[in-house]
Amino acid sequence: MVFSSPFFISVFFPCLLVFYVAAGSHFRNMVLLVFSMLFYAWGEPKALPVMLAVILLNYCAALALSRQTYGSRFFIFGIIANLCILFFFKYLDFIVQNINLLLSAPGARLLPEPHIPLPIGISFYIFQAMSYLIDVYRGQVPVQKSLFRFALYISLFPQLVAGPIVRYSSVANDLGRRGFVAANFQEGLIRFCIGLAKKVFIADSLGYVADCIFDSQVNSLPCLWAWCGAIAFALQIYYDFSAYSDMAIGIGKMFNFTFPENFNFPYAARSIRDFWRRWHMSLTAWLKDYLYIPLGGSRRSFATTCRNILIVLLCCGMWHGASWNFAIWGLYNGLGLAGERILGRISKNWADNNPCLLLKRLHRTFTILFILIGWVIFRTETLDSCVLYIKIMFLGNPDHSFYSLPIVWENCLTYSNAIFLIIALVFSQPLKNVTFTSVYKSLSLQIGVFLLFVASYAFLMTTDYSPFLYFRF
Amino acid sequence: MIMKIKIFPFLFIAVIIASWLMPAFFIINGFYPVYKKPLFDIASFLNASYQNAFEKYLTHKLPSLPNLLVMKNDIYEILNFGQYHSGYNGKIAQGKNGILFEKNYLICSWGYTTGKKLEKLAKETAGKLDILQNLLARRGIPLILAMAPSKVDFFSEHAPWQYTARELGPMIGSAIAGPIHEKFMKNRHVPFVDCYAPVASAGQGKEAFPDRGIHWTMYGAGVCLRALSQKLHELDPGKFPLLEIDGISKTSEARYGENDMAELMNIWPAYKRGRDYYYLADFKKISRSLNFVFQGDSFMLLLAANMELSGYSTHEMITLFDNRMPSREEFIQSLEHTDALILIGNATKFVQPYFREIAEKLISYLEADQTDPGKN
Repeated sequence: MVFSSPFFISVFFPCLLVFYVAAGSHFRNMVLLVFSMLFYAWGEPKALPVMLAVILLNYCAALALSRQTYGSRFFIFGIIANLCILFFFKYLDFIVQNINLLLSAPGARLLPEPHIPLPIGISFYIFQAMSYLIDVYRGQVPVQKSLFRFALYISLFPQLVAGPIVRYSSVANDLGRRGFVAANFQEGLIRFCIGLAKKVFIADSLGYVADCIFDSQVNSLPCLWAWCGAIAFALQIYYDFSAYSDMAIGIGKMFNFTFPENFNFPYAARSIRDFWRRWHMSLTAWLKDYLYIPLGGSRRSFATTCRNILIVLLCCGMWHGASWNFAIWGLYNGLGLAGERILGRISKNWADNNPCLLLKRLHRTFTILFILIGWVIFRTETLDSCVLYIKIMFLGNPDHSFYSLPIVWENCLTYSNAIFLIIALVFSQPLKNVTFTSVYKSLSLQIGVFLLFVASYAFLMTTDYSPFLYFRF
Repeated sequence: MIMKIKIFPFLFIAVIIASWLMPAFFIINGFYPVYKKPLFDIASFLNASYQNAFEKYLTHKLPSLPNLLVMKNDIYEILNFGQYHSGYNGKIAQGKNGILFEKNYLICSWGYTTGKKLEKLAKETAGKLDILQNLLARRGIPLILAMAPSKVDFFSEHAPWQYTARELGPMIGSAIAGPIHEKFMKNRHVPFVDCYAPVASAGQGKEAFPDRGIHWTMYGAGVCLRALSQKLHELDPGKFPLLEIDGISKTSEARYGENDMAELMNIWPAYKRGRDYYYLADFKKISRSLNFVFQGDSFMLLLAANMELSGYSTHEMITLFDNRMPSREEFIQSLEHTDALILIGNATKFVQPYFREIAEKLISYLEADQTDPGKN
C-alpha cells in the first residue's frame, strides 16, 4: 500500500485516525503498531515474516551487545546478519544472473536463478536497524529494552516503505508515551495534503511525459524531446520522492513523531557536492556517518578521500537497486564529486563559494547538466540506449528535425502537463515567504491547500496511473 | 483568534465522509470498470491479489465516484483551456468547436501507417478471409466484412491541432483504408462493405455523427445497414430483402450512446447552446427476422439496434461478440442457425492486423470442428 492509493486515503487512513484519537495515550502505540503491521501485510503478507525476523534479530543483537562480555561479537554478528538478509533478497538474483552471463559459453552449466521476490522497503528498514545497532554499539543511544517499542520504531508505517531513513536517536523519546498535540496534528495533515497534491498533480503528470519519451524508441527521439524527457524525469523523481517524504513526515507529525527532512531544493544546488547535501538527505547522512567516516572520510590522503567518495557513491547507487545502471549512476556521481575536489585543489576559484559570478553561474549550469545526465543513466534500461539518448541530447538526431513531434506522444503533450511542468520548475527553487511554516500560519493558504486536497482526492480516486518510483527500492 | 481553531482536520475528514455518503449526480455506468467482490482465500491473500481486487472493488463502490470523475474532467478542461480535452482516461480529445474524437481514430488517420503497409495488410487479410469464407460456405453461411465510417473523415478540419500540425504525410482514415481493402477483397471475392462511401455520397456526415459523442448516430448506422442489406441481397436475393430508408427524423432525446462522452466529461455548457438533435433513419418496415452473428465493436451495436427497428431481425436472433473473441464452442454453436456472419470494425481496426488475426482464429475453430458438414 502507498499513501497515494485510493484505499489508503479513503479507508485505511480514516480508520487509523478514528482508532488513534479514540485510544487513550496508553494505547496509541498499540494502535500504531497494529496498523503499521496491517499496512505492511496488506501489500505483501509474504514479506511480513522477513520484517519480523529483522526486528527480532536486531532487538536481540542490541540487547546482547549492550552487555559487557562479547558485545562486539554480537555487534559484528548483527551487522553481518543484516547485510546477509539484504544481500539475499536484493542482490542474489543479480549476482547469479551476472555469473551466468560470464558462464554463458556453449555447454557451460548455468546456475539456477533463485527469483527471490524483493520485500517492500527492505533497504529502508535494514538501514534503520543497522543504524540502531551501530549507535547502541557506539554508546550514542541507550538500548531499547521494550520489544514492543523497538518493533514500532522499525515498522512505523509512515517511513516504513520509502523512508526517510529515521535514526533511532531522533525518535527514541517519541516512542514513549506521547501526548496529542492539536497543532502538530493539523500541521502534519497540511503537510500530508501538500505532499499528496505534489504527487498527484506534478509527479504523475510529469511521469506521464517522461514515460512517453523514455519508453519510445530512442533512435526516433528528436533532440528537443530528448531534453524534455530528461527534464521531465528529473522533476518527476524529485517531486515523486519528496512528495512521499512530505506525506511521511506529515503523518509522523500528526502522531507527534519528528522525522528528519529528506530534501532541501536539490535543483538549487551550486555544485555536485551541494546537490548531495540536498538530495535524499537521510540516506546521504546515513552513508556519511556509517560508511564514509569509518572508511577515513577526508581526513587521510587526497587519493584515499577520492577512493572513499567512489565507494560510498557506488554503494549509494547499488542501494537503489541491483542493476548495472544504478551502479554506473553511483560511480558517475562519485566521479563527479571526486572531479570537483580535484578542480577545487587545482583552482581555488572552483569552490562552492567562489567570488566570480560568471564562474558561479558556469558551475551551477554544469551541475544541472551533470545531474540531468545522471538521471538519464538512472532511467534508461540499457547502456546502449543510455549512450544513444545522451548523444541525441547533445548532438541531435540526424533522422529527425530538432522539434518534430512523434504521434505516439499525443497523450502526454497537453497544456495541463505543460502547466504542471512550469509549476514544477518554479517550485523546485526556494521561494521567498513560501515555506511550510508560512502555510501553517496563514488561513488563506490553508484554504488553498484544502482545495488542492479535494482536487487531488478526485484525481486519485479516478485515475489508474500513479506509479511511485522509490517504492521499489 | 481564528487560527487557534484547528479546522483543517475536520474539513479533511468531512471530504472523506462526504465521498462515502454523497450520492452520485452523474451516471457513468458502462464507462468505468465494475469490479466484483473478490472471494477470500489464503493463496490469493498471500500473493496480495485478494487485497488488490478488494481495493478496486471497494473504491469503485464509492457512491460519489462519478462526481469525483466529473470534477477531475472539469479541472482538465480548465487546465487545457477547453481546446484540447483529455478525459475518459485520456482516450478522448476535444477538437475545434467542441467536437469530440476518440484518439485512436485521430492516430489512425494521421501517420499511423503508410499506404504501402496498408496494402500489404489488406492483401494478407483478404487471403485469410478467403479461407474463412470457403470454410463457412460448406455450412451455407455467407461472410461479409464491413468497415464503419470514421468521424475524423467527416470532421477532419475540426481535429485538434496536435494531430494535424505535423509532417507525417497524407491522412489515412476510412476514406483511404476502405478503397484499399475493397480492391484486395474483390480479388479474393470476399464481400466487403465500406460504410464510409454511402454516408459520404449522401453528404450527411453531420447527421451521421453526434458532436457530443464519439460514436455514430442511429442515422449513420442506419445508412450503413442499408448498404449492408444491399450486399446481402446481391448474395442471395431470396433470403435477404433490400432495406430502404424512407427519410430521416430528428429527436432531441439522446439514445444509444449519442451523448455518452459529453455526459461523462461534463462538458454540457458547450452543448447546451444548440446542437441538441440526434438523427434516426426511417426504414420501410419489414418483418423478416433473420439470424446474424456479428464479430465487431461498438458500431455493430448500433447496426443491431437498427436491424430491430427496421424489422430485419430481432434482439433474440442476433449474436454479438462485442470486442471479444468467442471460445470455439461458443462460435460453433452460434453458427447453427445463422444466416450470415458479419465481421465489422471501425477504421482503426483496418490499419492493424485485427481482422487477419480474427480470421486466423475462426479458421482454426472451423478446421478443428468435427461437426463440419464438408469434412466427410
